[in-house]
Amino acid sequence: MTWMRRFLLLIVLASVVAVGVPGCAPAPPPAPSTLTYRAAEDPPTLDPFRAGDDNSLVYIHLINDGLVEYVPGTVDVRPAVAESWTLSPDGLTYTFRLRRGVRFHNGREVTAQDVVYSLRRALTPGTHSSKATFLAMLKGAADFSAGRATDLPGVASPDPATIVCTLEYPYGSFLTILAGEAGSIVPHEVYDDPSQAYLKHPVGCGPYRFESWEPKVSLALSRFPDHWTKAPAGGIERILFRMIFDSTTALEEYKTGGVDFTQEIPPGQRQEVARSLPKDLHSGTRLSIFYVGFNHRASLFKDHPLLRRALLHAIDTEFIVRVLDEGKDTVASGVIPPGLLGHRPGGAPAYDPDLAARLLAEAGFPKGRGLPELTYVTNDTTGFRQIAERIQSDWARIGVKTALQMSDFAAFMKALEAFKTDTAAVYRFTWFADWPDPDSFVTAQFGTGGVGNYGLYSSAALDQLLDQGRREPDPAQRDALYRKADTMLMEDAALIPLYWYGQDVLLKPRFTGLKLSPLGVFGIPWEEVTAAP
Amino acid sequence: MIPEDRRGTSETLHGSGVSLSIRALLRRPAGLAGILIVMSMTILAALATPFGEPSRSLLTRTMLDWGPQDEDRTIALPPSSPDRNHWLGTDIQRRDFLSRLLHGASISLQVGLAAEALALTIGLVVGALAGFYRGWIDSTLMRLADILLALPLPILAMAAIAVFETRSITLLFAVLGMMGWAGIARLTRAQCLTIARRNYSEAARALGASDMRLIARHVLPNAAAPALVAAAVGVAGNILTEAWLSFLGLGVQPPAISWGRMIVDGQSVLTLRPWLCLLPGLALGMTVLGFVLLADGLRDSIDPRARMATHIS
Repeated sequence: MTWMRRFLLLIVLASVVAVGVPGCAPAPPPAPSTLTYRAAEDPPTLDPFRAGDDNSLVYIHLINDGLVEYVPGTVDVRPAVAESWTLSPDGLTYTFRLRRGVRFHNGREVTAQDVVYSLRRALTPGTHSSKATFLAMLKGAADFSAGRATDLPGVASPDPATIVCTLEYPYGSFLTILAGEAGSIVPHEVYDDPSQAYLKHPVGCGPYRFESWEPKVSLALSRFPDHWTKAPAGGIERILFRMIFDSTTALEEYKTGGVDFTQEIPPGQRQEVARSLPKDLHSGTRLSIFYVGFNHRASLFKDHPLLRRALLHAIDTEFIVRVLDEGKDTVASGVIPPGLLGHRPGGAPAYDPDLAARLLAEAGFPKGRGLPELTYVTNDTTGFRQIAERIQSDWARIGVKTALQMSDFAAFMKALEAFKTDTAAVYRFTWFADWPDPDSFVTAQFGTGGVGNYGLYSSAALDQLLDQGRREPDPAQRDALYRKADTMLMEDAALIPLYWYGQDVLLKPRFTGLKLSPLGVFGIPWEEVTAAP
Repeated sequence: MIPEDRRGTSETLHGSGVSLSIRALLRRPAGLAGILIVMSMTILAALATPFGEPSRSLLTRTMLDWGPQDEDRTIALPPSSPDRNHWLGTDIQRRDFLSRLLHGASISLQVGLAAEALALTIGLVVGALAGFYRGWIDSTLMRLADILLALPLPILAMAAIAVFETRSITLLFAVLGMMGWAGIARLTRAQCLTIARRNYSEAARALGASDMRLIARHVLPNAAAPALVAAAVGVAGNILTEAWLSFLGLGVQPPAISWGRMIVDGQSVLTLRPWLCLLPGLALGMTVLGFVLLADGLRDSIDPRARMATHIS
């Protein structure tokens, strides 16, 4: 090699180092007041009335405020945009007094008319709102949301600082519905825009305002300086949401400082994370259930309660919770989870393969003879697949053959809707409470015509009980009615409850004041979390 | 002087040509390694295929303490580490990992070989028809082959699975076989174009042989050599495609055991139990390598001059 070649090589190497090294260097760490939040994927919508998924709700709860809000970490309600309220003795009329000086992110002051507009919008047909069932107890809501009436007598504003909500029947959890996304107050001038620019650049009156969104990469919110609450010293000024789909990648990003917060620990790594990051791991429970549902249209299940009971006792639920879910969740003893009216503390259905085999024989299928192969329908994630294999194996022990039908989420939902009367199918299902009330939980899933009743379970006695529960003003009476409903469902083996979800999040210890919401990670009030410099 | 119809590629499959080729194959290290790996995997797959009632493989009946679906309920916290009972530990469902790893060969080989047998059959017939008759038959069949060659096999397989809304092993055979014949057909056609003009073909025709007899007795046997080499590579491609589909959750469904599925199951505990992910990957890699080496050796030994265009899809 001549000296000239060596010289040229040196220049090339020097150039590579000069250009490449700064390019490969990690980005400078964000300012202490910035939280980098791992989001799984882009929000399907930023419209509070269309949203129904965790990916959307996390932004919606930060951008928007309602008349009331949840006390952090609980399902209790406290004033927000309304500074106070009163309830009439008959439990039908709520009168809210608006807080003065509350502003939207566009600078305009929030008025009582905005509240009326927002509640009407949540019920207006043609706006793609999914909140009609949430606010169905408002007087006139059924006709208004069905397009049969233009008047909504349940919402009125007698003066610029007062809002009156009138209900068809007393509903004890009405305020908790207003504390959720259905109660978001939005500016009419933004949401009436026919170009629907609010879907890309939402405007609300919440503690954080929309800053930017690069699809599939990131979305940024920054603190709204004119919010009606005062930001705590050291509060989070900016939240940068990074879209990282894979939970394993997200965990690695967390460990290497790429994100400050992640809410999903990959299957099989919880114990290790708890050991290695004890100060970062925050755990709580969520008002939710994971269960195996039956296609009750099929006479195989409808006419054979003993078969349903046999399948229930054949599943080793404790193994699923302790091993597959690494203790994150709680074995379910019924449908209604702890923290809701109607929850029945007590033991879960026993795992007893011998009893299951006896019940199967009594049902007319000794050792599975004469029983068609069942189909277990689930979407295909590592965790759900492991549970599916577990159930397949457990049922095989008593002679029940099961084919697994695993697909992506959209195909899974399509499969549930395509069940027919001869489909010998069971399905895994998850339900998260939309608001903290058993009505949002049991009625929706097992009431005749319920929005989450994919198995088409129907019982006139249960329906009557649920209707009573919904209209009962006394919390103690409601508790008793829903306990009875829960017992009824379990005695009929209408479902196989597996567990009530827990929730795990990882947050860098420099952030303090985190409070997990029982409704889900999206409910964390980040405006109250502080960051050490 | 060698008569014209005793020269060239095709003659190696006749008479002493086959034994000569096998000897030549065994003399080449790559070919020998390929044969050894493929034979080992094939024997393993045969031993791992369940039969009878209760449905258990010969491997489970004779050599292993644990069947691939047997659970060791004494294990409190799976996946467990290797010990005397379970040489490679257990998976998260408390099943013996060694047993599952060995039984994974069955599905991979079944899918790889059965699909390629179908592809080879279709490819030979289509290629022979196109090369023998030429004209519009040739144009039509080869355009169809061009279309299939232009589309990636895994994507086609995914589309077929979506259309049929099922994920059975039979569907995998059918999809991979029905869509993987185009390369073989092209090779066969090229050979047929040459062979159909050879003296022995002309002589057979002059003696009154029908088209079918000409194709079956003279053209196809002489055109098959490159197709066999392509088929060996095709088996490797099918095995990879099956693993890839299983990795995505689109392959065979539990309780069938697939290395691709084992890889994805082990992925979540890669840092804690790396062998659960790495060993199925290694087994998959070894099998694919075996078929590729076999194809390489076959090509060199059967037709050293051939410059075959092969692909692993």
